[in-house]
Amino acid sequence: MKISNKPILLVEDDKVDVMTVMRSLKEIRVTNPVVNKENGEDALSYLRDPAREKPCIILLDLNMPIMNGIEFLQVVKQDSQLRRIPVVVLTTSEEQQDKVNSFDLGVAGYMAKPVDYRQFVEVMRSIDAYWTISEMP
Amino acid sequence: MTALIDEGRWTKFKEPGLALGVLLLAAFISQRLIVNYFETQVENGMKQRAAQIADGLINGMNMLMVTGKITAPENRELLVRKMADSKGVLELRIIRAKQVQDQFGPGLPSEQAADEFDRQAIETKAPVFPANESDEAQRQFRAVIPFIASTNFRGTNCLSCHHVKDGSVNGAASIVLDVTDDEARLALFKRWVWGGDFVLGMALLTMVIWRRAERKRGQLLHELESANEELKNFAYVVSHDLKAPLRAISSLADWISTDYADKFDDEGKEHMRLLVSRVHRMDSLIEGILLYSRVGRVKEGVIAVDLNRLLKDVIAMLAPPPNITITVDDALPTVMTEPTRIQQVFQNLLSNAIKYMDKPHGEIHIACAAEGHHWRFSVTDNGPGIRQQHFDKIFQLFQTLAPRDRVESSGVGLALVKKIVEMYGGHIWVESAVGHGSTFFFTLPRTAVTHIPDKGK
Repeated sequence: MKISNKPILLVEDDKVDVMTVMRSLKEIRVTNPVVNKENGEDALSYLRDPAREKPCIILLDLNMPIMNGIEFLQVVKQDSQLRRIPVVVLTTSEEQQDKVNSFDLGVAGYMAKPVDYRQFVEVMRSIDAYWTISEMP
Repeated sequence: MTALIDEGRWTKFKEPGLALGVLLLAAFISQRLIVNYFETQVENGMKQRAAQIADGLINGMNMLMVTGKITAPENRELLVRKMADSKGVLELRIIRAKQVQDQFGPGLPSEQAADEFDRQAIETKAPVFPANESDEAQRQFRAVIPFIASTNFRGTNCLSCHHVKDGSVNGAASIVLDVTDDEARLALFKRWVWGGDFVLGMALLTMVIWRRAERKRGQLLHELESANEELKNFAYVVSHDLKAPLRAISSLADWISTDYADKFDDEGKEHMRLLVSRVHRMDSLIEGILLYSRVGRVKEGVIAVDLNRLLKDVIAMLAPPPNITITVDDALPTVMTEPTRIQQVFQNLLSNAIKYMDKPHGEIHIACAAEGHHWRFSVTDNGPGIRQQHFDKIFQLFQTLAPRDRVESSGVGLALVKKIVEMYGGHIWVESAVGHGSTFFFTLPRTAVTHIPDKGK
Protein backbone atom coordinates (compact mmCIF):
# COMPACT_ATOMS: atom_id res chain seq x y z
CA MET A 1 0.00 0.00 0.00
CA LYS A 2 1.12 3.51 -0.72
CA ILE A 3 1.05 4.60 2.87
CA SER A 4 2.57 1.74 4.74
CA ASN A 5 1.70 2.72 8.29
CA LYS A 6 -2.05 3.16 7.92
CA PRO A 7 -4.14 0.17 8.90
CA ILE A 8 -6.15 -2.02 6.55
CA LEU A 9 -9.69 -2.56 7.83
CA LEU A 10 -10.86 -6.09 7.15
CA VAL A 11 -14.60 -6.52 7.71
CA GLU A 12 -14.99 -10.28 7.70
CA ASP A 13 -16.67 -12.78 10.01
CA ASP A 14 -15.10 -16.04 8.82
CA LYS A 15 -12.00 -16.85 10.87
CA VAL A 16 -10.28 -18.82 8.10
CA ASP A 17 -10.98 -16.05 5.61
CA VAL A 18 -9.34 -13.60 8.01
CA MET A 19 -6.37 -15.94 8.27
CA THR A 20 -6.27 -16.21 4.49
CA VAL A 21 -6.12 -12.45 4.08
CA MET A 22 -3.49 -12.06 6.82
CA ARG A 23 -1.36 -14.85 5.44
CA SER A 24 -1.55 -13.67 1.85
CA LEU A 25 -0.70 -10.09 2.88
CA LYS A 26 2.29 -11.41 4.76
CA GLU A 27 3.26 -13.49 1.76
CA ILE A 28 3.25 -10.46 -0.56
CA ARG A 29 5.02 -8.43 2.11
CA VAL A 30 2.38 -5.88 2.90
CA THR A 31 3.32 -4.47 6.25
CA ASN A 32 0.26 -2.40 7.04
CA PRO A 33 -1.42 -3.45 10.28
CA VAL A 34 -4.68 -5.32 9.68
CA VAL A 35 -7.70 -4.50 11.84
CA ASN A 36 -10.39 -7.16 11.72
CA LYS A 37 -14.03 -6.42 12.55
CA GLU A 38 -16.65 -9.14 12.45
CA ASN A 39 -19.55 -7.17 11.04
CA GLY A 40 -20.62 -3.79 9.66
CA GLU A 41 -21.68 -2.43 13.04
CA ASP A 42 -18.33 -3.15 14.72
CA ALA A 43 -16.54 -1.72 11.71
CA LEU A 44 -18.61 1.46 11.87
CA SER A 45 -17.93 2.04 15.53
CA TYR A 46 -14.23 1.52 14.83
CA LEU A 47 -14.31 4.02 11.95
CA ARG A 48 -16.19 6.60 14.04
CA ASP A 49 -13.84 6.32 17.02
CA PRO A 50 -11.70 9.52 16.84
CA ALA A 51 -8.94 7.80 18.81
CA ARG A 52 -8.43 5.29 16.01
CA GLU A 53 -6.52 6.02 12.87
CA LYS A 54 -8.60 5.93 9.70
CA PRO A 55 -7.69 2.95 7.49
CA CYS A 56 -6.16 3.38 4.03
CA ILE A 57 -8.47 0.77 2.57
CA ILE A 58 -11.47 -1.33 3.66
CA LEU A 59 -11.71 -4.96 2.56
CA LEU A 60 -15.38 -5.83 2.91
CA ASP A 61 -17.21 -9.13 2.97
CA LEU A 62 -20.90 -8.92 1.99
CA ASN A 63 -22.42 -11.83 3.83
CA MET A 64 -22.11 -11.09 7.55
CA PRO A 65 -24.35 -11.26 10.61
CA ILE A 66 -25.90 -8.20 12.36
CA MET A 67 -24.98 -5.71 9.62
CA ASN A 68 -24.05 -7.03 6.21
CA GLY A 69 -21.71 -5.45 3.67
CA ILE A 70 -24.37 -3.65 1.64
CA GLU A 71 -25.91 -2.09 4.77
CA PHE A 72 -22.45 -1.08 5.91
CA LEU A 73 -21.78 0.57 2.54
CA GLN A 74 -25.08 2.45 2.69
CA VAL A 75 -24.00 4.05 5.97
CA VAL A 76 -20.37 4.68 5.03
CA LYS A 77 -21.16 6.34 1.72
CA GLN A 78 -23.55 8.75 3.49
CA ASP A 79 -20.83 9.78 5.93
CA SER A 80 -18.73 12.68 4.66
CA GLN A 81 -15.83 11.62 6.88
CA LEU A 82 -15.72 8.04 5.63
CA ARG A 83 -16.97 8.07 2.07
CA ARG A 84 -13.55 8.66 0.50
CA ILE A 85 -11.93 5.57 2.04
CA PRO A 86 -11.68 3.05 -0.80
CA VAL A 87 -13.78 -0.06 -0.21
CA VAL A 88 -12.93 -3.28 -2.03
CA VAL A 89 -15.60 -5.97 -1.78
CA LEU A 90 -14.14 -9.43 -1.13
CA THR A 91 -16.94 -11.92 -1.36
CA THR A 92 -18.05 -15.39 -2.39
CA SER A 93 -21.10 -14.05 -4.16
CA GLU A 94 -21.00 -13.81 -7.91
CA GLU A 95 -24.61 -12.73 -8.03
CA GLN A 96 -25.18 -9.92 -10.48
CA GLN A 97 -27.44 -8.17 -7.98
CA ASP A 98 -24.70 -8.01 -5.36
CA LYS A 99 -22.30 -6.53 -7.90
CA VAL A 100 -24.87 -3.96 -9.02
CA ASN A 101 -25.70 -2.98 -5.44
CA SER A 102 -22.03 -2.67 -4.53
CA PHE A 103 -21.09 -0.48 -7.47
CA ASP A 104 -24.23 1.61 -6.97
CA LEU A 105 -22.80 2.35 -3.55
CA GLY A 106 -19.48 3.41 -5.03
CA VAL A 107 -17.13 0.56 -4.22
CA ALA A 108 -13.59 0.76 -5.58
CA GLY A 109 -13.49 -2.89 -6.59
CA TYR A 110 -15.30 -6.21 -6.41
CA MET A 111 -13.32 -9.43 -6.02
CA ALA A 112 -14.80 -12.91 -5.86
CA LYS A 113 -12.88 -15.00 -3.35
CA PRO A 114 -11.36 -17.89 -5.28
CA VAL A 115 -11.46 -21.34 -3.74
CA ASP A 116 -7.79 -21.81 -4.52
CA TYR A 117 -5.50 -20.14 -1.99
CA ARG A 118 -2.79 -19.44 -4.60
CA GLN A 119 -5.30 -17.56 -6.69
CA PHE A 120 -6.35 -15.66 -3.62
CA VAL A 121 -2.79 -14.53 -3.09
CA GLU A 122 -2.80 -13.23 -6.67
CA VAL A 123 -6.01 -11.32 -5.98
CA MET A 124 -4.41 -9.69 -2.94
CA ARG A 125 -1.28 -8.94 -4.93
CA SER A 126 -3.37 -7.12 -7.55
CA ILE A 127 -5.19 -5.12 -4.89
CA ASP A 128 -1.91 -4.14 -3.30
CA ALA A 129 -0.35 -3.26 -6.65
CA TYR A 130 -3.27 -1.06 -7.60
CA TRP A 131 -3.47 0.79 -4.31
CA THR A 132 0.29 1.29 -4.32
CA ILE A 133 0.15 3.07 -7.66
CA SER A 134 -3.15 4.88 -7.21
CA GLU A 135 -3.11 8.28 -5.56
CA MET A 136 -5.30 8.71 -2.53
CA PRO A 137 -6.81 11.85 -1.11
CA MET B 1 -77.33 -9.77 -10.94
CA THR B 2 -73.97 -8.10 -11.29
CA ALA B 3 -74.28 -7.15 -7.65
CA LEU B 4 -74.81 -10.79 -6.84
CA ILE B 5 -71.82 -11.92 -8.80
CA ASP B 6 -69.65 -9.23 -7.28
CA GLU B 7 -66.83 -11.01 -5.48
CA GLY B 8 -66.87 -8.90 -2.32
CA ARG B 9 -70.37 -10.07 -1.56
CA TRP B 10 -69.20 -13.64 -1.71
CA THR B 11 -66.09 -13.49 0.31
CA LYS B 12 -68.21 -12.41 3.27
CA PHE B 13 -69.46 -15.96 3.42
CA LYS B 14 -66.77 -18.25 4.69
CA GLU B 15 -68.49 -21.23 3.16
CA PRO B 16 -69.69 -20.81 -0.43
CA GLY B 17 -72.32 -23.54 0.10
CA LEU B 18 -73.99 -21.34 2.74
CA ALA B 19 -74.04 -18.41 0.36
CA LEU B 20 -75.60 -20.60 -2.31
CA GLY B 21 -78.27 -21.80 0.10
CA VAL B 22 -79.17 -18.29 1.24
CA LEU B 23 -79.37 -17.03 -2.32
CA LEU B 24 -81.48 -19.95 -3.48
CA LEU B 25 -83.82 -19.50 -0.51
CA ALA B 26 -84.20 -15.80 -1.26
CA ALA B 27 -84.85 -16.55 -4.91
CA PHE B 28 -87.41 -19.19 -3.99
CA ILE B 29 -89.29 -16.92 -1.58
CA SER B 30 -89.33 -14.01 -3.97
CA GLN B 31 -90.61 -16.10 -6.81
CA ARG B 32 -93.26 -17.64 -4.60
CA LEU B 33 -94.44 -14.09 -3.88
CA ILE B 34 -94.49 -13.28 -7.58
CA VAL B 35 -96.42 -16.43 -8.43
CA ASN B 36 -98.91 -15.72 -5.67
CA TYR B 37 -99.34 -12.20 -6.93
CA PHE B 38 -100.10 -13.43 -10.42
CA GLU B 39 -102.50 -16.05 -9.10
CA THR B 40 -104.32 -13.39 -7.14
CA GLN B 41 -104.42 -11.20 -10.23
CA VAL B 42 -106.01 -13.99 -12.20
CA GLU B 43 -108.53 -14.72 -9.49
CA ASN B 44 -109.37 -11.07 -9.04
CA GLY B 45 -109.82 -10.69 -12.74
CA MET B 46 -112.23 -13.57 -12.66
CA LYS B 47 -114.15 -12.15 -9.74
CA GLN B 48 -114.33 -8.83 -11.49
CA ARG B 49 -115.68 -10.40 -14.60
CA ALA B 50 -118.25 -12.34 -12.60
CA ALA B 51 -119.19 -9.22 -10.67
CA GLN B 52 -119.76 -7.40 -13.92
CA ILE B 53 -122.13 -10.11 -14.95
CA ALA B 54 -123.84 -10.42 -11.61
CA ASP B 55 -124.26 -6.69 -11.38
CA GLY B 56 -126.39 -7.01 -14.45
CA LEU B 57 -128.85 -9.38 -12.83
CA ILE B 58 -132.37 -8.17 -13.35
CA ASN B 59 -134.23 -7.16 -10.20
CA GLY B 60 -136.86 -9.55 -8.99
CA MET B 61 -135.56 -12.41 -10.98
CA ASN B 62 -135.58 -15.39 -8.78
CA MET B 63 -132.74 -17.40 -10.21
CA LEU B 64 -130.72 -17.30 -13.32
CA MET B 65 -128.28 -19.83 -14.48
CA VAL B 66 -125.77 -18.35 -16.79
CA THR B 67 -123.43 -20.88 -18.20
CA GLY B 68 -121.06 -21.02 -21.05
CA LYS B 69 -117.57 -20.02 -22.02
CA ILE B 70 -117.62 -16.40 -21.24
CA THR B 71 -114.07 -15.53 -21.88
CA ALA B 72 -114.99 -14.69 -25.45
CA PRO B 73 -115.59 -10.92 -25.27
CA GLU B 74 -118.80 -10.94 -27.34
CA ASN B 75 -120.42 -13.46 -24.94
CA ARG B 76 -119.40 -11.44 -21.98
CA GLU B 77 -120.78 -8.28 -23.48
CA LEU B 78 -124.06 -9.94 -24.26
CA LEU B 79 -124.46 -11.15 -20.71
CA VAL B 80 -123.60 -7.83 -19.26
CA ARG B 81 -126.08 -6.08 -21.50
CA LYS B 82 -128.86 -8.48 -20.47
CA MET B 83 -128.29 -7.83 -16.79
CA ALA B 84 -127.69 -4.13 -17.13
CA ASP B 85 -129.91 -2.80 -14.35
CA SER B 86 -129.01 -5.09 -11.52
CA LYS B 87 -127.54 -3.85 -8.24
CA GLY B 88 -126.51 -5.22 -4.87
CA VAL B 89 -124.26 -8.21 -5.36
CA LEU B 90 -123.15 -9.39 -1.97
CA GLU B 91 -121.33 -12.62 -2.47
CA LEU B 92 -119.00 -14.06 -4.97
CA ARG B 93 -117.54 -17.47 -4.64
CA ILE B 94 -115.27 -19.42 -6.78
CA ILE B 95 -115.97 -23.09 -6.78
CA ARG B 96 -113.81 -25.54 -8.65
CA ALA B 97 -115.79 -26.76 -11.59
CA LYS B 98 -114.92 -30.35 -10.79
CA GLN B 99 -116.42 -29.86 -7.37
CA VAL B 100 -119.64 -28.54 -8.89
CA GLN B 101 -119.85 -31.48 -11.20
CA ASP B 102 -119.19 -33.93 -8.42
CA GLN B 103 -121.70 -32.29 -6.15
CA PHE B 104 -124.45 -31.72 -8.67
CA GLY B 105 -124.06 -35.09 -10.13
CA PRO B 106 -126.31 -35.87 -13.05
CA GLY B 107 -129.17 -33.66 -11.80
CA LEU B 108 -129.98 -30.36 -10.17
CA PRO B 109 -132.37 -29.67 -7.23
CA SER B 110 -135.88 -28.28 -7.52
CA GLU B 111 -136.56 -24.55 -7.55
CA GLN B 112 -137.58 -24.56 -3.89
CA ALA B 113 -134.60 -26.60 -3.01
CA ALA B 114 -132.37 -24.18 -4.91
CA ASP B 115 -133.87 -21.29 -2.95
CA GLU B 116 -133.17 -23.19 0.21
CA PHE B 117 -129.59 -23.67 -0.85
CA ASP B 118 -129.27 -19.99 -1.56
CA ARG B 119 -130.60 -19.14 1.85
CA GLN B 120 -128.22 -21.58 3.46
CA ALA B 121 -125.36 -20.22 1.43
CA ILE B 122 -126.08 -16.69 2.62
CA GLU B 123 -126.30 -17.79 6.23
CA THR B 124 -123.21 -19.94 6.22
CA LYS B 125 -121.32 -17.76 3.72
CA ALA B 126 -120.16 -20.95 2.06
CA PRO B 127 -121.20 -22.79 -1.05
CA VAL B 128 -124.01 -25.23 -0.54
CA PHE B 129 -124.65 -28.19 -2.78
CA PRO B 130 -127.66 -30.38 -3.02
CA ALA B 131 -127.52 -33.95 -1.93
CA ASN B 132 -128.74 -35.65 -5.01
CA GLU B 133 -131.94 -37.43 -3.92
CA SER B 134 -135.29 -37.07 -5.75
CA ASP B 135 -136.11 -38.01 -9.30
CA GLU B 136 -138.36 -34.99 -9.39
CA ALA B 137 -135.51 -32.68 -8.85
CA GLN B 138 -133.52 -34.38 -11.49
CA ARG B 139 -136.30 -34.08 -14.04
CA GLN B 140 -136.96 -30.48 -13.31
CA PHE B 141 -133.42 -29.34 -14.02
CA ARG B 142 -132.46 -31.93 -16.53
CA ALA B 143 -132.58 -29.40 -19.31
CA VAL B 144 -129.76 -27.52 -17.74
CA ILE B 145 -127.48 -30.47 -17.21
CA PRO B 146 -126.36 -31.13 -20.75
CA PHE B 147 -125.42 -27.56 -21.05
CA ILE B 148 -123.24 -27.64 -17.97
CA ALA B 149 -121.75 -30.89 -19.03
CA SER B 150 -120.91 -29.59 -22.45
CA THR B 151 -118.80 -26.79 -21.13
CA ASN B 152 -116.06 -29.25 -20.27
CA PHE B 153 -115.59 -28.26 -16.68
CA ARG B 154 -112.17 -29.62 -16.21
CA GLY B 155 -109.78 -26.77 -16.03
CA THR B 156 -112.50 -24.23 -15.70
CA ASN B 157 -113.90 -22.47 -12.69
CA CYS B 158 -117.48 -22.04 -11.71
CA LEU B 159 -118.60 -18.90 -9.96
CA SER B 160 -121.77 -18.77 -7.97
CA CYS B 161 -123.27 -15.34 -7.43
CA HIS B 162 -126.11 -14.62 -5.08
CA HIS B 163 -128.02 -11.44 -5.51
CA VAL B 164 -129.40 -10.45 -2.15
CA LYS B 165 -131.77 -7.62 -1.29
CA ASP B 166 -133.36 -6.85 2.10
CA GLY B 167 -132.10 -10.04 3.63
CA SER B 168 -133.63 -12.34 1.07
CA VAL B 169 -132.19 -13.82 -2.05
CA ASN B 170 -133.30 -11.75 -4.92
CA GLY B 171 -131.51 -13.55 -7.63
CA ALA B 172 -128.65 -15.90 -8.13
CA ALA B 173 -126.38 -16.75 -10.92
CA SER B 174 -123.99 -19.55 -11.43
CA ILE B 175 -121.48 -18.41 -13.86
CA VAL B 176 -119.05 -20.74 -15.48
CA LEU B 177 -115.87 -18.98 -16.34
CA ASP B 178 -113.47 -20.54 -18.71
CA VAL B 179 -110.12 -19.81 -17.24
CA THR B 180 -108.05 -22.21 -19.33
CA ASP B 181 -106.34 -19.26 -20.98
CA ASP B 182 -105.47 -17.72 -17.62
CA GLU B 183 -104.33 -21.00 -16.19
CA ALA B 184 -102.28 -21.77 -19.24
CA ARG B 185 -100.68 -18.36 -18.95
CA LEU B 186 -100.04 -18.94 -15.27
CA ALA B 187 -98.58 -22.36 -15.98
CA LEU B 188 -96.36 -20.91 -18.66
CA PHE B 189 -95.30 -18.19 -16.29
CA LYS B 190 -94.52 -20.78 -13.61
CA ARG B 191 -92.51 -22.76 -16.10
CA TRP B 192 -90.52 -19.67 -16.91
CA VAL B 193 -90.01 -19.02 -13.23
CA TRP B 194 -88.82 -22.56 -12.61
CA GLY B 195 -86.66 -22.39 -15.71
CA GLY B 196 -85.22 -19.18 -14.35
CA ASP B 197 -84.66 -20.90 -11.00
CA PHE B 198 -82.81 -23.69 -12.70
CA VAL B 199 -80.62 -21.32 -14.65
CA LEU B 200 -79.96 -19.24 -11.54
CA GLY B 201 -79.15 -22.35 -9.53
CA MET B 202 -76.79 -23.63 -12.17
CA ALA B 203 -75.17 -20.21 -12.46
CA LEU B 204 -74.65 -20.05 -8.71
CA LEU B 205 -73.33 -23.58 -8.61
CA THR B 206 -70.96 -22.86 -11.46
CA MET B 207 -69.91 -19.72 -9.70
CA VAL B 208 -69.20 -21.57 -6.47
CA ILE B 209 -67.26 -24.27 -8.29
CA TRP B 210 -65.41 -21.62 -10.24
CA ARG B 211 -64.63 -19.69 -7.08
CA ARG B 212 -63.30 -22.81 -5.44
CA ALA B 213 -61.19 -23.62 -8.47
CA GLU B 214 -59.99 -20.04 -8.52
CA ARG B 215 -59.03 -20.19 -4.87
CA LYS B 216 -57.27 -23.49 -5.42
CA ARG B 217 -55.45 -22.04 -8.40
CA GLY B 218 -54.44 -19.01 -6.38
CA GLN B 219 -53.16 -21.29 -3.67
CA LEU B 220 -51.20 -23.37 -6.16
CA LEU B 221 -49.78 -20.26 -7.73
CA HIS B 222 -48.76 -19.02 -4.33
CA GLU B 223 -47.08 -22.32 -3.52
CA LEU B 224 -45.31 -22.25 -6.84
CA GLU B 225 -44.13 -18.73 -6.23
CA SER B 226 -42.82 -19.56 -2.80
CA ALA B 227 -41.16 -22.69 -4.14
CA ASN B 228 -39.52 -20.58 -6.80
CA GLU B 229 -38.47 -18.05 -4.23
CA GLU B 230 -37.03 -20.86 -2.13
CA LEU B 231 -35.08 -22.10 -5.12
CA LYS B 232 -33.64 -18.63 -5.65
CA ASN B 233 -32.62 -18.46 -2.03
CA PHE B 234 -31.26 -21.96 -2.32
CA ALA B 235 -28.91 -20.91 -5.11
CA TYR B 236 -27.78 -17.99 -3.00
CA VAL B 237 -27.27 -20.18 0.06
CA VAL B 238 -25.33 -22.66 -2.03
CA SER B 239 -23.07 -19.96 -3.36
CA HIS B 240 -22.33 -18.49 0.05
CA ASP B 241 -22.79 -21.01 2.76
CA LEU B 242 -21.40 -24.02 0.93
CA LYS B 243 -18.55 -22.26 -0.76
CA ALA B 244 -17.23 -20.50 2.33
CA PRO B 245 -16.28 -23.69 4.25
CA LEU B 246 -15.00 -25.19 1.02
CA ARG B 247 -12.68 -22.26 0.57
CA ALA B 248 -11.53 -22.61 4.14
CA ILE B 249 -10.75 -26.31 3.61
CA SER B 250 -8.85 -25.46 0.46
CA SER B 251 -6.78 -22.73 2.15
CA LEU B 252 -6.04 -24.83 5.21
CA ALA B 253 -4.98 -27.79 3.05
CA ASP B 254 -2.74 -25.49 1.07
CA TRP B 255 -1.11 -24.08 4.21
CA ILE B 256 -0.62 -27.50 5.76
CA SER B 257 1.09 -28.82 2.66
CA THR B 258 3.26 -25.69 2.40
CA ASP B 259 4.13 -25.22 6.07
CA TYR B 260 4.72 -28.90 6.78
CA ALA B 261 6.12 -29.88 3.39
CA ASP B 262 9.25 -31.39 4.97
CA LYS B 263 7.13 -33.51 7.34
CA PHE B 264 5.04 -35.20 4.58
CA ASP B 265 6.27 -38.27 2.77
CA ASP B 266 5.29 -38.83 -0.87
CA GLU B 267 2.05 -40.57 0.03
CA GLY B 268 1.03 -37.79 2.36
CA LYS B 269 1.75 -35.22 -0.34
CA GLU B 270 -0.33 -37.21 -2.82
CA HIS B 271 -3.22 -37.33 -0.34
CA MET B 272 -3.04 -33.60 0.16
CA ARG B 273 -3.02 -33.10 -3.61
CA LEU B 274 -6.11 -35.33 -3.95
CA LEU B 275 -7.81 -33.46 -1.11
CA VAL B 276 -7.28 -30.14 -2.84
CA SER B 277 -8.38 -31.49 -6.21
CA ARG B 278 -11.62 -32.87 -4.70
CA VAL B 279 -12.28 -29.52 -3.11
CA HIS B 280 -11.89 -27.96 -6.53
CA ARG B 281 -14.26 -30.51 -8.02
CA MET B 282 -16.86 -29.72 -5.41
CA ASP B 283 -16.35 -26.07 -6.15
CA SER B 284 -16.99 -26.63 -9.83
CA LEU B 285 -20.12 -28.67 -9.02
CA ILE B 286 -21.46 -25.83 -6.91
CA GLU B 287 -20.54 -23.44 -9.69
CA GLY B 288 -22.48 -25.67 -12.07
CA ILE B 289 -25.58 -25.63 -9.88
CA LEU B 290 -25.39 -21.86 -9.74
CA LEU B 291 -24.95 -21.60 -13.48
CA TYR B 292 -27.88 -23.92 -14.07
CA SER B 293 -30.13 -22.14 -11.61
CA ARG B 294 -29.33 -18.75 -13.09
CA VAL B 295 -30.91 -19.70 -16.42
CA GLY B 296 -34.42 -18.27 -16.44
CA ARG B 297 -33.89 -16.73 -13.00
CA VAL B 298 -31.53 -13.96 -13.97
CA LYS B 299 -33.10 -12.16 -16.91
CA GLU B 300 -31.03 -10.39 -19.43
CA GLY B 301 -32.33 -8.11 -22.15
CA VAL B 302 -33.40 -9.88 -25.33
CA ILE B 303 -31.53 -8.30 -28.22
CA ALA B 304 -30.77 -9.13 -31.84
CA VAL B 305 -27.70 -11.35 -31.75
CA ASP B 306 -25.69 -11.88 -34.92
CA LEU B 307 -24.65 -15.52 -34.57
CA ASN B 308 -21.81 -15.13 -37.08
CA ARG B 309 -20.07 -12.70 -34.78
CA LEU B 310 -21.03 -14.56 -31.64
CA LEU B 311 -19.56 -17.82 -32.93
CA LYS B 312 -16.30 -16.12 -33.91
CA ASP B 313 -16.02 -14.85 -30.34
CA VAL B 314 -16.90 -18.22 -28.84
CA ILE B 315 -14.35 -20.07 -30.98
CA ALA B 316 -11.67 -17.51 -30.19
CA MET B 317 -12.42 -17.87 -26.49
CA LEU B 318 -12.26 -21.67 -26.58
CA ALA B 319 -8.95 -21.51 -28.46
CA PRO B 320 -9.15 -25.02 -29.94
CA PRO B 321 -5.86 -26.92 -30.25
CA PRO B 322 -4.27 -26.83 -33.74
CA ASN B 323 -5.30 -30.39 -34.59
CA ILE B 324 -8.99 -29.43 -34.41
CA THR B 325 -10.59 -27.35 -37.14
CA ILE B 326 -13.94 -25.70 -36.58
CA THR B 327 -15.95 -24.68 -39.64
CA VAL B 328 -19.11 -22.61 -39.64
CA ASP B 329 -21.84 -22.31 -42.28
CA ASP B 330 -21.48 -19.20 -44.41
CA ALA B 331 -24.36 -17.16 -43.12
CA LEU B 332 -25.94 -17.80 -39.75
CA PRO B 333 -29.11 -15.93 -38.84
CA THR B 334 -29.50 -13.07 -36.44
CA VAL B 335 -31.80 -14.14 -33.63
CA MET B 336 -33.62 -12.33 -30.85
CA THR B 337 -32.27 -13.76 -27.64
CA GLU B 338 -30.22 -13.15 -24.53
CA PRO B 339 -26.61 -13.03 -25.76
CA THR B 340 -25.13 -14.80 -22.72
CA ARG B 341 -27.52 -17.71 -23.03
CA ILE B 342 -27.01 -18.42 -26.71
CA GLN B 343 -23.29 -18.07 -26.13
CA GLN B 344 -23.51 -20.69 -23.36
CA VAL B 345 -25.28 -23.05 -25.75
CA PHE B 346 -22.60 -22.89 -28.43
CA GLN B 347 -19.76 -22.72 -25.96
CA ASN B 348 -20.86 -25.89 -24.18
CA LEU B 349 -21.54 -27.85 -27.35
CA LEU B 350 -18.21 -26.80 -28.87
CA SER B 351 -16.15 -27.30 -25.73
CA ASN B 352 -17.61 -30.81 -25.37
CA ALA B 353 -16.67 -31.58 -28.96
CA ILE B 354 -13.13 -30.32 -28.31
CA LYS B 355 -12.79 -31.91 -24.87
CA TYR B 356 -13.78 -35.42 -25.95
CA MET B 357 -12.06 -35.37 -29.37
CA ASP B 358 -10.16 -38.65 -29.87
CA LYS B 359 -9.06 -38.35 -33.49
CA PRO B 360 -5.69 -36.92 -34.61
CA HIS B 361 -7.53 -34.53 -36.91
CA GLY B 362 -10.63 -33.21 -35.28
CA GLU B 363 -13.33 -31.67 -37.44
CA ILE B 364 -16.23 -29.75 -35.99
CA HIS B 365 -18.88 -28.18 -38.17
CA ILE B 366 -21.66 -25.80 -37.24
CA ALA B 367 -24.64 -25.53 -39.56
CA CYS B 368 -28.04 -23.92 -39.61
CA ALA B 369 -31.16 -24.58 -41.67
CA ALA B 370 -34.57 -22.96 -41.74
CA GLU B 371 -37.18 -25.59 -40.91
CA GLY B 372 -40.78 -24.43 -40.78
CA HIS B 373 -41.11 -21.97 -37.92
CA HIS B 374 -37.75 -22.93 -36.49
CA TRP B 375 -34.08 -22.60 -37.10
CA ARG B 376 -32.36 -25.94 -36.80
CA PHE B 377 -28.77 -25.65 -35.69
CA SER B 378 -26.34 -28.52 -35.64
CA VAL B 379 -22.88 -29.06 -34.18
CA THR B 380 -21.20 -32.05 -35.79
CA ASP B 381 -17.92 -33.62 -34.68
CA ASN B 382 -15.90 -36.66 -35.69
CA GLY B 383 -15.17 -37.60 -32.11
CA PRO B 384 -15.82 -40.87 -30.23
CA GLY B 385 -19.61 -40.82 -30.64
CA ILE B 386 -22.20 -41.69 -28.04
CA ARG B 387 -24.08 -44.96 -27.63
CA GLN B 388 -27.80 -44.63 -28.20
CA GLN B 389 -28.67 -45.81 -24.70
CA HIS B 390 -27.03 -42.65 -23.34
CA PHE B 391 -28.87 -40.21 -25.64
CA ASP B 392 -31.27 -39.10 -22.88
CA LYS B 393 -28.92 -39.45 -19.95
CA ILE B 394 -26.32 -37.01 -21.24
CA PHE B 395 -28.80 -34.13 -20.99
CA GLN B 396 -29.42 -34.76 -17.30
CA LEU B 397 -27.73 -32.72 -14.60
CA PHE B 398 -24.41 -34.10 -13.26
CA GLN B 399 -24.38 -36.99 -15.75
CA THR B 400 -21.02 -37.67 -17.37
CA LEU B 401 -19.91 -40.64 -19.44
CA ALA B 402 -16.18 -40.44 -18.69
CA PRO B 403 -14.79 -40.93 -15.17
CA ARG B 404 -14.21 -37.55 -13.58
CA ASP B 405 -10.54 -38.28 -12.98
CA ARG B 406 -9.95 -38.69 -16.70
CA VAL B 407 -11.99 -35.80 -18.03
CA GLU B 408 -12.72 -33.09 -15.47
CA SER B 409 -16.39 -32.28 -16.05
CA SER B 410 -19.13 -31.04 -13.80
CA GLY B 411 -21.87 -32.70 -15.83
CA VAL B 412 -23.74 -29.45 -16.05
CA GLY B 413 -22.99 -28.34 -19.62
CA LEU B 414 -25.57 -30.28 -21.64
CA ALA B 415 -28.23 -29.95 -18.94
CA LEU B 416 -27.66 -26.22 -19.09
CA VAL B 417 -27.87 -26.21 -22.90
CA LYS B 418 -31.11 -28.19 -22.79
CA LYS B 419 -32.61 -25.84 -20.21
CA ILE B 420 -31.72 -22.78 -22.27
CA VAL B 421 -32.97 -24.21 -25.57
CA GLU B 422 -36.25 -25.33 -24.00
CA MET B 423 -36.68 -22.00 -22.29
CA TYR B 424 -36.71 -20.40 -25.73
CA GLY B 425 -39.27 -22.94 -26.97
CA GLY B 426 -36.86 -25.12 -28.91
CA HIS B 427 -35.71 -28.66 -28.34
CA ILE B 428 -32.42 -30.51 -28.46
CA TRP B 429 -31.39 -34.00 -29.51
CA VAL B 430 -28.36 -35.95 -30.57
CA GLU B 431 -27.57 -38.32 -33.40
CA SER B 432 -24.41 -40.36 -33.20
CA ALA B 433 -22.46 -43.29 -34.57
CA VAL B 434 -20.01 -44.78 -32.09
CA GLY B 435 -16.47 -44.28 -33.35
CA HIS B 436 -17.49 -41.85 -36.08
CA GLY B 437 -18.81 -38.83 -34.29
CA SER B 438 -21.93 -37.10 -33.03
CA THR B 439 -24.23 -34.35 -34.16
CA PHE B 440 -26.10 -32.25 -31.63
CA PHE B 441 -29.20 -30.61 -33.06
CA PHE B 442 -31.21 -27.86 -31.48
CA THR B 443 -34.00 -25.63 -32.67
CA LEU B 444 -34.90 -22.04 -31.96
CA PRO B 445 -38.19 -20.45 -33.01
CA ARG B 446 -37.94 -18.11 -35.98
CA THR B 447 -39.48 -15.07 -34.41
CA ALA B 448 -40.48 -12.15 -36.59
CA VAL B 449 -37.22 -10.35 -36.05
CA THR B 450 -34.90 -13.23 -36.83
CA HIS B 451 -33.49 -13.11 -40.28
CA ILE B 452 -30.56 -14.23 -42.37
CA PRO B 453 -28.76 -11.22 -43.71
CA ASP B 454 -27.47 -12.79 -46.92
CA LYS B 455 -29.35 -16.03 -47.46
CA GLY B 456 -32.42 -15.93 -49.63
CA LYS B 457 -31.45 -12.86 -51.58
